[in-house]
Amino acid sequence: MRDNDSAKRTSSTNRRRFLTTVGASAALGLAGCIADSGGGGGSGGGNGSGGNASGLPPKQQGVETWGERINSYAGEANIDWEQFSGTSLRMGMNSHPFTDGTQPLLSYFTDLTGIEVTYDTYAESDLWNRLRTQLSNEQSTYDGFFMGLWPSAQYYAAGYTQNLSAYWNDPKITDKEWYHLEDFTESAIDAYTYQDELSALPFGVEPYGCLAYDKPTFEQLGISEPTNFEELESAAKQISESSEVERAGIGSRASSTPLSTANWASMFRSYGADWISYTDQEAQLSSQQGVAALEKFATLMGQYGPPDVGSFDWTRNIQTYGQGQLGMAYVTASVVGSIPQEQRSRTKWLPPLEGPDGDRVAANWQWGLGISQYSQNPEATWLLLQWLTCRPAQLVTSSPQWQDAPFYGWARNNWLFDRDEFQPGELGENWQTTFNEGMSMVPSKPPAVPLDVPQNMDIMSEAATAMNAAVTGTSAKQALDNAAQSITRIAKNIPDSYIEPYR
Amino acid sequence: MRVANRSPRAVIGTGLKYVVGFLACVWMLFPIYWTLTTAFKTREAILGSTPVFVPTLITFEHFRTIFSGSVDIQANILNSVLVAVAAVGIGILIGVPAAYALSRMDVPRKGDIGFWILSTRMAPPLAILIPLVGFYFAAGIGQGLIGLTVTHLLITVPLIIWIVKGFIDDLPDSLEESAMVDGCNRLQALRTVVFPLVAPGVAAAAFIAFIFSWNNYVLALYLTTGESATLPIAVSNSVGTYSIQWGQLGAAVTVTILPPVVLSLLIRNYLVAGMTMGAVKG
Amino acid sequence: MGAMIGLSAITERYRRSEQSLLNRLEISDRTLRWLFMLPSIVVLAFISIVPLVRAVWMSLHDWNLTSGKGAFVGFGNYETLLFGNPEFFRFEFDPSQPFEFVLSGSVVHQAVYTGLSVSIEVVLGIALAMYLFSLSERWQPIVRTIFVLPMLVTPIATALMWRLMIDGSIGVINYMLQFVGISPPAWTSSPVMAMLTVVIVDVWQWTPLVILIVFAGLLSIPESRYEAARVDGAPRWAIFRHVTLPGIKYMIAIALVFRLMRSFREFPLIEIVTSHGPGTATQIMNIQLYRTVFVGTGDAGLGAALGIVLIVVTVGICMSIVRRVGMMQ
Repeated sequence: MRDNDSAKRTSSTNRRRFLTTVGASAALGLAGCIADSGGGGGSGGGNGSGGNASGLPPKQQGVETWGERINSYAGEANIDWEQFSGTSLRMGMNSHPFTDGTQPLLSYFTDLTGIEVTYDTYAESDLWNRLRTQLSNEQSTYDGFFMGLWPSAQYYAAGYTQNLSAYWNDPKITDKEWYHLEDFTESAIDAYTYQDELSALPFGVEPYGCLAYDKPTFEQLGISEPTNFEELESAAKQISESSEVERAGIGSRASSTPLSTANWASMFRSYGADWISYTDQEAQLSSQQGVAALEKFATLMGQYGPPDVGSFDWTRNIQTYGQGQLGMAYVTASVVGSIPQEQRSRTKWLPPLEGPDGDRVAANWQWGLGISQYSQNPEATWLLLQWLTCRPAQLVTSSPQWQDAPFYGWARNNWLFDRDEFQPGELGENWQTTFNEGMSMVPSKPPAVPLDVPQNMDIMSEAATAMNAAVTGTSAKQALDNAAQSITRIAKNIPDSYIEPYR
Repeated sequence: MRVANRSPRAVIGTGLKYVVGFLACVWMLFPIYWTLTTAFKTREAILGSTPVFVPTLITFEHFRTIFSGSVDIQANILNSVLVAVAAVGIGILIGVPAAYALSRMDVPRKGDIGFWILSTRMAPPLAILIPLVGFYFAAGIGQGLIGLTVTHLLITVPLIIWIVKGFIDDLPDSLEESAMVDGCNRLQALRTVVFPLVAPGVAAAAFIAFIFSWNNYVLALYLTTGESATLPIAVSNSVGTYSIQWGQLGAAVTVTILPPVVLSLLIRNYLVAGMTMGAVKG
Repeated sequence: MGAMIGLSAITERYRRSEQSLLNRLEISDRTLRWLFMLPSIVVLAFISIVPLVRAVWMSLHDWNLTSGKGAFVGFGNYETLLFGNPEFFRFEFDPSQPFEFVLSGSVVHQAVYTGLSVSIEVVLGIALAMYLFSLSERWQPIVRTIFVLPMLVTPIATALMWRLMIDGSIGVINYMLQFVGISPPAWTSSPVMAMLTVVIVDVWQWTPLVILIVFAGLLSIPESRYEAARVDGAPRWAIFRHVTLPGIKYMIAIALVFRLMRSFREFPLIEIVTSHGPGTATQIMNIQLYRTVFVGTGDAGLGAALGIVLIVVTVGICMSIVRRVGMMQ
């Protein structure tokens, strides 16, 4: 009862606050907060978000239009949306553009279903830590939560999340035709599927190992587009050593946290290396190809990167590029919203480069929503998940639909880019091709990193330590040998059922 | 004229003293100055490659964000105040008598108990959090202010006991004895003689306990939920998945450090007096 | 004497007052001491012992947070931690090449981090406290207020603030260094510099605590002792050595204990500034504990063992200081 009240209060406060804010002044700097917290943030000059110039409606109007539009689209589904009326849900959310972009729409979901929704928003690692303490105690304050791809196998293995396939196959709460699962890249759904059980619905996907480069720099120095890593190195060298351009050659995430390995992981797999042998449950990353890939990466970053590249996480990497201090950024195409307009319009995108044998692999990250094992209202949560990721909702989260709206996502990339309403504004030359090509290079079995086993984060944590050590001066061979010892130990703990598909 | 009487060495000495003081003050103040001004800078100024030392273009955008935008910092402020005040209040209520007993009365194994009290603060919270969270859920105080306040006693009680104990140690025994000779019982002697004299020490202890409770982040992260989160969580939430909102961070930090700063100014004399007497023997 | 007379007057008044409830409460000291002690003991025991016992219990089991509780393994986790965990302690030494050895692990980082930051804080804190003490009455309150400020900033904010200031592209410190012609160091990306960076941040945040405590100690040294020394014509360093230092000995010990306690469980200052890197170069024990339990599959058994080791180390070191200076009496 009390939960219900507080959810109601929060929800109505949000709406009221939003209305007064908009009413107060159009230039109120909602611009600032929303765009900043969202994809459009990090603006160095000019406006942060994408489509401001294209005459987008003010926020209030945009929210109204799209809230109604999502609901009218939902009306086409063969689902009784009101069957859980009176329930209230609490969602554990990241401080993320998706959260900021969907929060103002929640009252429309309540109008449609009679279900109250509260978002609890935390910084990324804060949310993970909270979920870990609660779920390992078989408790949860949340009905559903943000699921990052790489740790989600361990959530599945630990039984933290529910099997969504059961809901997907329940016609009472799912209209498969309406949901259009074919809009998603197949590997994106596969990535969240463990032992034939779906554990999250993705709303955003990120193909890594793409290249964003500064066109004027390339033109000025007469560099041609790299197609493989040798050419990438010579381009980086040229930029770095040129006295005409005040930019470092290249930057990438290279810090010692597991997620920072994503770019290098694309390169590593394109070199033909593997992290582990699934069947032997042993580390394989210090193979000849693995060492070559890390040596190349360490040279690129250590010699031609900015001096503090060893501490580059997502934010630092893209901020540095956005400030015009990098000639090239080795990134995911999904980073685009964090690049300021000025730099974005100077940028050309390239999909993952060829390894020595011509292989091109993209590592992937995804954000999705899962349902807590300890939720009292899993079916109502399932309705919310579908609503938040349905077609028109993807249009809202993947392309700004009101002034300074944050945007991020593109999970329905097979469908999204042809829509008239998909008007993200200037994303840089060749962005859509890069995104789609990148997604098409995401492998499923084995995935680019061992994200189909619960030990993925442990393994990639060791790999990250090795990568970071190599970038900051240790020899690649030694760094990988050290990591291999720990990874073999970790790999021995992979349960048989996860190894079975590889036998 | 007085300068003329000094030796050149003394003049250099004085000059040096000012320089040292100036540098030390800059060292202490600059990061705070930088954060506070960041709260008022536009995003262009924050992210420009030439730092803006004195913002000429002032914006209240970031404060608007945290007060009326996507963040609900009013609730965080209220929670922080409730938790810190309650934890310090209860801490004084139970800690001061314990400090008195440890200092004056014949408690068996006094030294060991005293050290044990201090040592409760030594456990790294991360080591005990998972069991603690489970325990609190089982006790039905899983994610609310009550659980957090109770846990904050772990911060405030040992501090208050130790500082106040040292303070009482310093009072001459004869004060109470003469009061008791005069016919007071011990409780009366406490109330009329000891408490008024230890007041500055208690104030100092309360202030330090307040700061540590107010600033605690780790416990709040695991023991609260959206509605019960405290200010350090609001500070942490300015770290977005894809960017850190520096302006919002500056604004949140400004709001967070204002109460301790004001409080420290209000009780500055107590603070010194309290520290002086209180901590002499620990 | 005057105070005594005043005191009798007060107590007299209370004694006569019929209102005084306290007067009618006849509680023996034997009962009273437990009435005074018990609430604190019960509360602290409730919050600290229950989870601690549970943590010990966890440390004796093979317990993975993702795959669930396993068997009782006795001291197996401790054995793994102390003897088979290179992240905890690693020493490789080949006598034929005595200058190429590897010494790393969170214990080593902890020793460097705590040793360096706490000693700098204590030395700097004493120096600045004495400086503060020497100021005139006009300046002292102002400077004192300034010297306390960093302590008031919530540590997570401190960490983020410093991250902003040393940022490679928008950081003001790099800009100022370049302005005076110094090329900025690789703040967080070389192992040695990263350690220095977190030490610098720690020193900024916590020196004020030492200043505050030591300053209180300086105020409590009777002026007469200084005068006696001056009359004897003792040089300055001798006054410091024989009057000041003994006078603030206890305070230094307290500051030391508070700082050590805190330093052993430091978390945001390091994790936010360097994310324990590069590699694991700034991973102290508490952060290894965090990563063991919260990142990856979550080896709660090993993490708990590490937590217990950390508690034992902290308590051991602090107890030896407390015993040495006789704080317990």
